[in-house]
Amino acid sequence: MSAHEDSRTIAAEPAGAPVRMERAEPALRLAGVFKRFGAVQALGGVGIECRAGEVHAIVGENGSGKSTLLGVASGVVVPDSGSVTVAGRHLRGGHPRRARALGLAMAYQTYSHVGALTVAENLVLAAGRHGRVLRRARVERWAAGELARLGLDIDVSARVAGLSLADRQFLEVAKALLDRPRVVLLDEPTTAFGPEEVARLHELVLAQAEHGVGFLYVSHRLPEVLGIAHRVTVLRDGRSEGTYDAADVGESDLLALMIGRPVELAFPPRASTTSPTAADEPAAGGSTEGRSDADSSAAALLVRDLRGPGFGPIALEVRRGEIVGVAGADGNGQTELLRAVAGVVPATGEVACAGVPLDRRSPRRALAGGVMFLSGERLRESLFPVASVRANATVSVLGRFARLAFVSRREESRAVTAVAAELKVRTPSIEQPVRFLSGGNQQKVVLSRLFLRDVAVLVVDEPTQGVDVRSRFEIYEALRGMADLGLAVLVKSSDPVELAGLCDRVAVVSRGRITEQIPAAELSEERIVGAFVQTRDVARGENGDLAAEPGRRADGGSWWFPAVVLAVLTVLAGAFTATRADAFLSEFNLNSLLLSALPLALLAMGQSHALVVGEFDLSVGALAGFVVVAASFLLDGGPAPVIGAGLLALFGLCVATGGVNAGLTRLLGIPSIIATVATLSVLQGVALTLRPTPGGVIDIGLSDLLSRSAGIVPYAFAGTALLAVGLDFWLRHTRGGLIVRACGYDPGSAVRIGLRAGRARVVALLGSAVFAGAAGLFLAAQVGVGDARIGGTLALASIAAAVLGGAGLSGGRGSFAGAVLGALFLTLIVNALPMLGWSSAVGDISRGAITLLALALFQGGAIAALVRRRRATP
Amino acid sequence: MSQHSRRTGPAPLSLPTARVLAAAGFLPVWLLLAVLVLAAAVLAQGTLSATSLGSQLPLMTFLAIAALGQMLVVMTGGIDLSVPGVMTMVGTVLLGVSGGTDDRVLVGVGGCLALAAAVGLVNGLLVGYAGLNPLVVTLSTGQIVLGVTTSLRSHLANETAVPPLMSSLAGDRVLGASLVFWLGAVLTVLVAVLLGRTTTGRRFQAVGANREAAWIAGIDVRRHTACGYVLAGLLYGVAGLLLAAFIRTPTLEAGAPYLLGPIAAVVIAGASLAGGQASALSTWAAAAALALLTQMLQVFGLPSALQYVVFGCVIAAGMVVSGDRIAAVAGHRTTVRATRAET
Repeated sequence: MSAHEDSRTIAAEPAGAPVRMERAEPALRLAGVFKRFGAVQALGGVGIECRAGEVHAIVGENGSGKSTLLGVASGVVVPDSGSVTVAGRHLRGGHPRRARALGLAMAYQTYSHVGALTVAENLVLAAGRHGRVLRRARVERWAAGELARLGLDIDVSARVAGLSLADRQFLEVAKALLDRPRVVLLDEPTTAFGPEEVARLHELVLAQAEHGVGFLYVSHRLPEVLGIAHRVTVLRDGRSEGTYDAADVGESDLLALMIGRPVELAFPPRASTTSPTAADEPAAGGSTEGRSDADSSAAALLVRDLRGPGFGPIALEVRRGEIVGVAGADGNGQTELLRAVAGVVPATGEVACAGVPLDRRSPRRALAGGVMFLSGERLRESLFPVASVRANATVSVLGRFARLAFVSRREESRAVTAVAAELKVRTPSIEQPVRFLSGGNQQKVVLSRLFLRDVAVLVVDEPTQGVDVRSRFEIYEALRGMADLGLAVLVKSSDPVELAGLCDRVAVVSRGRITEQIPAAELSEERIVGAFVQTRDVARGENGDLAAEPGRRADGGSWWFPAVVLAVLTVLAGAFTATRADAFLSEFNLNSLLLSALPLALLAMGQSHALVVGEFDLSVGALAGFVVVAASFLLDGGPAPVIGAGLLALFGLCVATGGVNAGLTRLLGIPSIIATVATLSVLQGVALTLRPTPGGVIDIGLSDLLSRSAGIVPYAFAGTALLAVGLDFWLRHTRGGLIVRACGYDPGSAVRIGLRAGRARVVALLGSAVFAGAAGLFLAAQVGVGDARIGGTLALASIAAAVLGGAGLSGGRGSFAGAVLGALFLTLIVNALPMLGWSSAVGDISRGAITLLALALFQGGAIAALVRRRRATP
Repeated sequence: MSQHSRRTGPAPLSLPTARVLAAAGFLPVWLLLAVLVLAAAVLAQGTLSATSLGSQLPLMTFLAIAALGQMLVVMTGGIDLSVPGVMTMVGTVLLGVSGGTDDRVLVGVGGCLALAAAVGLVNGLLVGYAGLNPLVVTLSTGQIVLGVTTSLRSHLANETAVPPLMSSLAGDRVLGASLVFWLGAVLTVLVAVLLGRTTTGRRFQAVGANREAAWIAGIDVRRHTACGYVLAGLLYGVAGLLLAAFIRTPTLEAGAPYLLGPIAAVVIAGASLAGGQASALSTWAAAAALALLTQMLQVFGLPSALQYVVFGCVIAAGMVVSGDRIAAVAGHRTTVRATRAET
């Protein structure tokens, strides 16, 4: 085990001691943990002990507090009271980093991978310590070795975004095990697995447990849990229902402990008109009969062979007047299924509404085809929080109240008032912004859209999450009322009690497939929960190429490709100019070309700092201009110490500017574009006040020093180019660079694996300011006078240069050498035009056009996504 | 009513409170304007003199109209850096097409507005449909437009002036204020009506308030985003034309001051730069406040460049005290937190 020196745990302990010590101290102890979110008491005094070498399972229904418990244990959620100790040491919550330092690792149900990076790179990031310089071959060998040690066979050079869901799940577990942790939290680790993979995972977990690792294994799959766990703790309503030896309990015992939430709910009576026999039919085959007899129970929604991200193939039928529930443990593909039906996520297969194939290219088309979708993410995807109740209710039906192009406010208000009364929306006025309503009333406002528009099928995700008991009943009534009017309703809920009370039939989903459809007569909480916790041997659905996430953030080709294209273009443009104008190749011209490219090159490198972490710095040009002005006061000649002090002052000024940018973005949460526009404006204003017209002199000695050259190449340019190559090497081949890229690509995952994404941003903005300062110094040396206007368009040019060099605007991607080449290319255009007899206007036009082209080519992710989306639907 | 509400979660607010809260985001700018007018009346009467206003109201109007365009783009969650380019372009094109005579003034104005809208359309297509980054797209189109303008200008005599009809109209006064001012006021009301009362405007607002929700609610988000840019381009065109008429011989630098000013105006008007709600009237008030502030600097004998320092501070302060935050602090956050409580 000690063969892999470089990946040992960073929790410093005397060598060899851990295993023995843990006998005395449990690997993980949670004592008296309370946590409340708003009105919900998520955890009400839970205590759990996980011993070293033990697999300790946590089971419970959806919403029983499992996720909160894991959040507290992993240090993400700070409990209201109670303590967490890892191998006897107290955990201070707030950042997963702290928990990792104590020897606690977590495998997330939704993963913590950076999709654009390779498997090997993700493993390096997760390993607490690693050599600073990463040689690709050695890293991949190390990664392959680590995976082999765990018995896993995953291509270490593949990008994670391209892996199958099962491989991503294994990788998540592997990452958690890298640092020889004392305790590992596994959150639903088998969601993406079929039976064989479950067996492999369990083998792996048990082998690690024998080495003394404690596992907290959260799952809802009772057969799997009982097959691996030593002890089981049951959670219900945020409280522990006791810890049992796995050998002493059976599935039915656990089920009985899990269910039985206090029920204060009432439900509207089911309609008697729908024939109960409809429910028993397996959905896929019976469709033709349903349509032929064209009675009220005809299939309004027919789903066949539907496959999408995380689910499939699915066959399902919902008749008019019927409410069909979708049940399952959270994260088994239910949400994606509903979204696919309504055209929110792409999927292959057939969906028909009232016998007509449904156009699912967008929610708008699905809505036009008669399917309305109400998202479970109420604040993010359903509501316009700042808008009024009225505007929220009528957003999809404005055409109804239109007189010519104008919305008739009176008709609109009348309609909304009527619906609000019918749904018992409690609001002082329909002009109230919905953000000030309670969750229940917000949900009713969303539902009111249904009353204002004729649709055939309603697809609802989590209709009552965060809704008070009274509003719940009113929402159930509304849904039942809609069904009685002849709509087909498909409801997904993570609350089995709700589904049992509301639905005419419930489809149970496990691992993306419907495993069972429970008819109304059999519906109960126990029956539903039993169906999904006791399923066994469900193979994961085949999702085709949709399994891999569409590469929203994936690298668009190699990082060096734009730089090579740019180099070729530069040479071509240079050669073309040389054939037309002899002066171009003169030593003097080439030297001055490189010199004049230098400030922009430095600015573009500074900008790249910001772009790599996903920020913009628009203040770089103004800062450079400000430095020029300041230099005309501070560096106007004098002995060396005075010049030195002046330079030091300028450096301090740049750091201060970077600090202000970082403070505004990090501390006050202002988007970097705006924060840096603010500093830009201030710097420009101060510079113009100091030097309303160009004036002052900049020390000539400094100018000479900075423009000294060897042949045509200025020393400073050579130095800058070397620095750029060095920074590129750092970015690609060191652990620090990898961390920065990870923070740029996916800050969320970066934080989960314990990286400091925020600090990377601060450092990047400081770096961009320092580079801008250097650029200002060279500008000052070149112009020789304090000119406040010189920085005018430089920030924008620096972005153009960086984009030309292949920087990504959403973070993660960038090349410093590419940025320098971009600057050289842009300067070349300016330099060559007069020689070719063209006006500078051509330069502006071509620079703009080339930047647009580079943007479209290198940032084409969106275009690719659009194309993919078109293809995904029939 | 109140008994019920106790049990059903956070207590709903009374109607007047609700109205005030809804408007809270846009309140600070009106307060700022009122304070500035008061300060000007007490400390620097010169600022509010008839002569001063005569020159300031048109300048304020150019800023306000450009800010209205920027506001539309900001509502879609974008930012528009092509404003100076477009404003400079229309001035030059007007000179070129009209040749400084009155008989082709209509063709000139029409052509300029069509061109400005076309630039907006290119921006809109690239941002809305192709999904490219608005900052870099508008930066590039702005640069291209400026390049085209530079080459057009080089074919024109330096002393070419706008048609006399336009410059005389720009100097006209109606009801004691410049005609330009009234035109700006009418445009502001038009934009406000467009946003608040028409189906397209209402859908556009929805896209601004929550892009994701608008998409799911069946609104064509891409088309509305693109429309925002087109309309913005048109407004920059109008602002540029009025500016040209006002200064008579528009230079290549004419549009330059309109990069930062409109952004500052939009921010202090209470729009969240992440996209969302904005109010045309508040944007107008913000432009007025900024113009007044600039004018006061001059009256106090301070360098006019300090206005940029003011803009910068105002942008930063405006973001910190953004309408969204005020409303969030004033309103109660329990609902938000309760729904976040996933267990």
